Amino acid sequence: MIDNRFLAGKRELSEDDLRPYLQPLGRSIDLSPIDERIEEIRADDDIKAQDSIIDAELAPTLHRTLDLTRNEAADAGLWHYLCVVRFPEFVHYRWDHVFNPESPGNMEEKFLKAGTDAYSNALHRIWWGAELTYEEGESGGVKHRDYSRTKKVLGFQELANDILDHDFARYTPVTHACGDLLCHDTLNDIKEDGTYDDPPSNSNIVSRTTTLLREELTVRRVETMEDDDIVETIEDLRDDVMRLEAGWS
Amino acid sequence: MSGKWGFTTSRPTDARYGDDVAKYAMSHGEPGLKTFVREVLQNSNDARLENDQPARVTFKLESLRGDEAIEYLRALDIETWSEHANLATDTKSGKHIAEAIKRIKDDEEIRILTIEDENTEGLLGEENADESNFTALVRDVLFSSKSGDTAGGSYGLGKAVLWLYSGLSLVMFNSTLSDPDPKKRSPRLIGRTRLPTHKSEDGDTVYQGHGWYGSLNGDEEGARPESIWGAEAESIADRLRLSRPDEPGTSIQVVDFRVPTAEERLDDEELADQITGMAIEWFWPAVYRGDLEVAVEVEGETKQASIDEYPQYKPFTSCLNDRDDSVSQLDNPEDVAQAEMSLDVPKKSDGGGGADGQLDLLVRRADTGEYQHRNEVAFIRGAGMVVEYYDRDRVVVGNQDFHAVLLGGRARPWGSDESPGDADTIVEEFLTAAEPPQHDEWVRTETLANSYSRGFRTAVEGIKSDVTETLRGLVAPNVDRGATGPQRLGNRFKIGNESRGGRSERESPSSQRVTGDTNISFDDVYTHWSFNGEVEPLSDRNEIRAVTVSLIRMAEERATTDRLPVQNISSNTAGVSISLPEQKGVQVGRLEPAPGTSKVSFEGVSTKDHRQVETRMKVSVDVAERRDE
Repeated sequence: MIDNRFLAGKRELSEDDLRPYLQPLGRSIDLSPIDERIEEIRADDDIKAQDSIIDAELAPTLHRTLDLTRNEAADAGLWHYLCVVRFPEFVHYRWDHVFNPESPGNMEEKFLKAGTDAYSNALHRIWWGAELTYEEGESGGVKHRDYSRTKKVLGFQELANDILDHDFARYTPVTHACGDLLCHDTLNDIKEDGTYDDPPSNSNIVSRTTTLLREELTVRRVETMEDDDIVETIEDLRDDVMRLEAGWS
Repeated sequence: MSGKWGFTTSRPTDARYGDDVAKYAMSHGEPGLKTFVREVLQNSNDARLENDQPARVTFKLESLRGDEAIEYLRALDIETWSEHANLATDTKSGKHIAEAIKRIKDDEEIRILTIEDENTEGLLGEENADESNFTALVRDVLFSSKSGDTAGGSYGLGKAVLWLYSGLSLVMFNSTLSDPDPKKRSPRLIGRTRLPTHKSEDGDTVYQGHGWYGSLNGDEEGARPESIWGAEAESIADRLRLSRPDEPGTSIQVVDFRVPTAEERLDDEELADQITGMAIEWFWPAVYRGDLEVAVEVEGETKQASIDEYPQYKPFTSCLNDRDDSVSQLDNPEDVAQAEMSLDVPKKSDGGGGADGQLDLLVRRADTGEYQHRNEVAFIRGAGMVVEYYDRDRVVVGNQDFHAVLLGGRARPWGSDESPGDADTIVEEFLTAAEPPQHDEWVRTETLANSYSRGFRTAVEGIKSDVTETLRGLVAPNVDRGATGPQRLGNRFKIGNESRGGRSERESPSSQRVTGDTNISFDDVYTHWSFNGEVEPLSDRNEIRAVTVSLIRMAEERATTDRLPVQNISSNTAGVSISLPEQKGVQVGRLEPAPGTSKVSFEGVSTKDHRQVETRMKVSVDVAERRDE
């Protein structure tokens, strides 16, 4: 059913079309806040279609509205439904540039991947990006959650991809540290200090540092490391990268 | 009468010890119960007297409570000891000790493990001798003085293990000497604790951290207490539950015994079972030959460790038993075949030694039901300890299941009528030098590099591939390669890929047309990776045109695009031209053999790698149809 015509946005699939395949979640969630937020984003002149800022801007509303357990969120069918039936226009608005009729896989996964792949599906990705980076507010309630780190991570596509696509993302002390230490704000501050002569671009710093971190994790287990140790490890690797002393090739 | 603790003082400028260097060297390995049992038994096994009696080792586990515990701790002069321990709590190991003290107080219970051996040398040697059993076990940290150069432990780290397994870092010794020198009045009693460096309360005196329990001569501050002898020692030993039979040997008591890595405290029975199990697992050769007896005593009940109780090691002892009836082909279950492997021991740096040595491999075809340790090769030399079980599962696709024993050094003729020859003694010495402090493999060590001339590396690193090659000849299924089709067989061959911290194998894309073996491991001595391998085309019609070796950094979930430069590569295949070109900016090793070459072997090293993260070797082989020359 998910063919090139659908992926090109030339055909729609309704709930009726998919009726035989749908299963109820077991509770009802009012999705209208997400609709409204998408409307606002699309109406904002400062936000261009296909920009990663879209993910950052939608994340707090999406994550608050879809107040799922991780167990529920691991059900790929839920995300397939949301992307294919409920929010296909949003998926097109955010990802149309990856559609290539010759190799439709890249677009297809924006609708259909999910499960343990936190990187591909357009909405699943935003939800997990938020889940792995938000801070609980004092009340513990949904309303008071702090999504400032989420916005920094999802607004920086390289950083979001390098976190979500890798195993270490399953451990929030690491995603929090990566978000704090590798976001644009932090990197720009360091560059302004002028400590490093000729630091690479922020995207390169992120990509290189997370690669070195993944290599480091072949011999260390993050789950056995203290939070301070995680932060220090990432800082050290980042500094190596900024000094161009990290096996740069 | 009671012994007293004394702590040696040091100048403020002397080296300070947060902990014990030897403790670290050991715990780098695996400070589970296995390390302890192996090291302790090896100590006793090595000190066995030269007669036809076995060394007898008994592990006694006791938990003392109430008055018993109080009486014991009083005899231990725990008050003096505590004063020092309390001054040393600001370091990490000091904290662990403080925790242990608190636990003992809270539980009102202390567990002690006493290891009593008989028919061994005992703690011979003057109080201040440069080299003796006494100084080695009780005083020195990193030296070994076991009899002969081929005793099991050549690093002297074995005894450091003892303190690691004492929550209080405190170990007591009581020994009956096999020789009237230095004194006739056995037993000899002394205790030793290793605390972090600490200062006296007023801050004026620095204590190095080493403390001894014994008799203090005079009141000199910082003097080292010496051994207590004879009747006095006997009476103190009695109160310390450390009395021993009147036979030569040593009783060692680990106070507040614990397994450092254990998450939960095992109960005495479980601990006893594990000790006997491990004793047989690692020392069945010595037990089988009647050189070693091991028992465990819990609450007055003694249990002897016997091979009968652990039938999974029978296939190995059968290799020795049935060696005389060995066959040339393993046609039936329980058949034993033997093969010789050569080991060229290079001369020592001082010009001595050197021999065309030999290792003997005994292979026994497994019977149905013999699952444990199946397809493993037990590496053994004269010490009678299994150095390692080398897993050769699926050494050949569809191989016959087997158990094997590799005998080296003085163990080589075991099971036959032969006696070890001069060459075997030289091999024994070589293999001993090839064992790292944990004695759990034969590899290139610093000792080896320092004492042998060129060629030691090929010799020691070739052992495993020779074993593999020899096994292939013995356990390969009767398959005619041509008839089954090289492609089908070839698809199932794997290019091995040994990564640090374990073996792993994976299919290589080129494995459909070539077969071979590769190894890569990290060399702690030179801080680089060393690798070697051998490749050949599956079909006789093909030849190898080029081999490219690159070193790939792994990440948590898959390979990265990062490469570690190859520093050097060499080949002992004739006519191979060698170069180190760059691929994507990183140096790789490239071998281009002369026309007509089918098999190419190589070895090499990476550049220095301070990151030491998981690295694998990628071997790309260009294969083409053989050119007519």
